[in-house]
Amino acid sequence: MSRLIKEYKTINAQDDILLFPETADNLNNWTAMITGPPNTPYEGHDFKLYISIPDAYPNSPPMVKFHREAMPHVNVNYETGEICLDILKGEWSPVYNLLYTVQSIERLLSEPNADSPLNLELGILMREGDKTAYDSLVRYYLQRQK
Amino acid sequence: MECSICIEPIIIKSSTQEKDQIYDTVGELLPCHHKFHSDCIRKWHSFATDLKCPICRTVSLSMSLIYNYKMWYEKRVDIDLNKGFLVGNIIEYDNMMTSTRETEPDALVAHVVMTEDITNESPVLSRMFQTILNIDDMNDDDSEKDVEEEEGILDSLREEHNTLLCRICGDDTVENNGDADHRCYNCNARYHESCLHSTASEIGESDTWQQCIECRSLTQRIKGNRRFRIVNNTNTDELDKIRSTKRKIQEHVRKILKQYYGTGSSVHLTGEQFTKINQTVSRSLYSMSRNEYQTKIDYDYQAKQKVLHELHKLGYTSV
Ligand SMILES: [Zn+2]
Ligand SMILES: [Zn+2]
Ligand SMILES: [Zn+2]
Ligand SMILES: [Zn+2]
Repeated sequence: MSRLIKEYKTINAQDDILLFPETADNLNNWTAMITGPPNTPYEGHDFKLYISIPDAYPNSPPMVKFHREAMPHVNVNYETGEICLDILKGEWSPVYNLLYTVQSIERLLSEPNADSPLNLELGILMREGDKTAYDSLVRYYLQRQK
Repeated sequence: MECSICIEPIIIKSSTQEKDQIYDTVGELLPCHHKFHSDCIRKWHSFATDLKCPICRTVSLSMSLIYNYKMWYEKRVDIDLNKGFLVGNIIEYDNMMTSTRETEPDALVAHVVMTEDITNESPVLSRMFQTILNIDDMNDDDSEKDVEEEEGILDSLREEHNTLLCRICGDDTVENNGDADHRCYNCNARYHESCLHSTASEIGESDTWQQCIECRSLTQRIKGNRRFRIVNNTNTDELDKIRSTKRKIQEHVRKILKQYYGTGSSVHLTGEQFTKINQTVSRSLYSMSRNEYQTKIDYDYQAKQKVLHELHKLGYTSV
């Protein structure tokens, strides 16, 4: 049985996880819904992730993106939704799975990383250590979307 | 135990398993001792840009391949992950395999008795059988000289066999389903093309795949038909047993054939015809014996029937 089918069965059995394949017979494209963590400017917002599985999975990492122009975050390209996260690149391990990947992205929302900015505006505020300005800019972006 | 790469169980020896259970070959990373299916971890190494353990991220220095062989055998082959397989260990593995067979009567029965069914299933045994037949083709007198010659051929086959092993995977470079056979210009080491490729990508130097892993000289693709098929993993005892069976059977065939050869016989066979009939009948008796001398077979009778059949085919219908 393929690794993905096993993952699908495990994920499907847990109803508190919002991670679905596009269709049950095509496990190559998934979507996930993550909730803004409490005590972050993302609290009260939900975000959609698009996941596509390469043929070499799990030896190659899944490709994950936010919806375009939906995630104001220092490690996310706002226009494209592209995410900069080590485990999606060189630090990927074949023992990680889709659930771990989504949870890591969720964690990235509470723990932005100044070293690899994809959002220059937020990157500057973060490097200056101005957390209040960073958070209010994020809130401003999120507000604007509504 | 489960392999955390494919999330499938790793089947290893345990007292509750069936005797004919097929065990997985396990790859154990060192120094962290995390275990995976050997295929899973080797595949990962061919994708990864470093040698960090997938589970604990410790940099692996080497990997032990743990072979579980039937109920009674486990052997580790250590691979230096920066070099590829250690040839010495693979040869040691073959030798241990051989000596273990000698001390394990049950396993011996399963592996040594060359019934036709087993030879069909086992490329190793069928190759060994084929070699014996080939040697016999060249050898139609039972004089001492020929016996010596036969020993010589077997020795050189064994020797040749060792030099034909892929230095990476330890398998025969000749029998490889069309995989190209590479040879080092400098040290004559042999490799499978695919093994050179995967080792080079494992160590992150895919461009240098054509280099010999022993001396770093260039390897070259070679072709060529072989006169003999190769004896693989051959146990000397098995070989001796097969040869003695073969010789006993030939004695019967020659005894019968001699009645129709030379002065006083109504049959006038040429040396060539004698040789040919000898071969055909011996082979047929050999496969009828399921490759082991059977006391319940009346070899003289069987040999006579088959010799007569061959003589009929040559036109000697009244013998
Ligand atoms: Zn596995
Ligand atoms: Zn480890
Ligand atoms: Zn090889
Ligand atoms: Zn060489």
